[in-house]
Amino acid sequence: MSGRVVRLAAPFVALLLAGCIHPPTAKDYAAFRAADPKSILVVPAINRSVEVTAPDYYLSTITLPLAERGYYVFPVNLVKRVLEDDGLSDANLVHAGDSRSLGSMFGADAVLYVTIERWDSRYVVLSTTTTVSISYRLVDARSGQELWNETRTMEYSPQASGGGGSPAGLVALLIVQAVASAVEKAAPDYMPLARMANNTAVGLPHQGLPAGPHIDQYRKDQKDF
Amino acid sequence: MMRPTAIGALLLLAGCVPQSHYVWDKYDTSLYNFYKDPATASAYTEQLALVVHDGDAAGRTAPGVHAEYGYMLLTAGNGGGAIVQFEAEKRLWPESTVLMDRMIGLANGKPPTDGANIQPAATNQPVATGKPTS
Repeated sequence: MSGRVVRLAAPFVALLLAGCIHPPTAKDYAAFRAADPKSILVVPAINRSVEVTAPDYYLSTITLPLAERGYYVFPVNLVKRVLEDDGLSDANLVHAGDSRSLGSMFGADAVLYVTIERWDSRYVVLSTTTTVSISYRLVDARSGQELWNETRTMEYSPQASGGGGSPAGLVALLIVQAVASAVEKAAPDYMPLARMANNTAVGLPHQGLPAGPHIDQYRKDQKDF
Repeated sequence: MMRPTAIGALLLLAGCVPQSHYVWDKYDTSLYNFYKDPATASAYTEQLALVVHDGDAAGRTAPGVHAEYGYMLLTAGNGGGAIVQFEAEKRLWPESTVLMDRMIGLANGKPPTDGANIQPAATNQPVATGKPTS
């Protein structure tokens, strides 16, 4: 289920498409249902991109989709600072540690480990493509067992449109395209892509997270998960 | 690969956007701005105050926001205000009890007592006063 790339015309569009059509192979939710986690501790993300700011920026996007899915989400900024105060500012160290000790330290049912696989913007021949790729791993904080995993890759390329068939129209189109690409390269906007990755990862039937205890669908969505 | 059209997107927009269960206001963008520029700590704190106020007023307070607000008050040296928020988080969200008890202990000037669970460097006194560390 990794590496499915969604290419979009406008950032929020693919989220909706991905959320509504072509469900891939359904996941096995037996372990998840048995563990029945009610609260999720999101620890700082491992960063495999070269953008040093990516993990912090990313952290601001993950609370909403998980909470709206019905889970108690531990306060991400507070958790980050508490870990730092305990000498755990290195995400690699936190991810390599025992989920059960994190669980008892915070009183969490499950720990979400996020890895930022890609967070970059590349310019190739008049076109800039911004890519955010995130992998997710939810682990039971009582047993240490993995409950769910997912990888989402989102891309955005500004596309010039129109221009007609005339040479002048084509030149104009190329100029518009070049400007749009330069603007995107200068200030790539990763945040809509990160939000989309999260929303599709969490919300997609047969792929995402079953409804948590704070929303009505809790334990009523077995046919979807 | 797929290339959605604007029309398709609008159709789906109507059917697929889930209703928000909680009041978030600008919680996420203000946290993003705070990480981008730590000098916006007070703007972030003010936004949290608003999120908490609006959420409580609507009876749809989001998980974690009282705790995040309390933490920012604590870093600004307002331990009493922090405790009020930590207690509110605990009351609304019993799942937060372990963490909130720990934070209330910190705000009361006590080091964490659950040392067995805590990994290295519990000896330093965390979260005293002043600005956040990064």
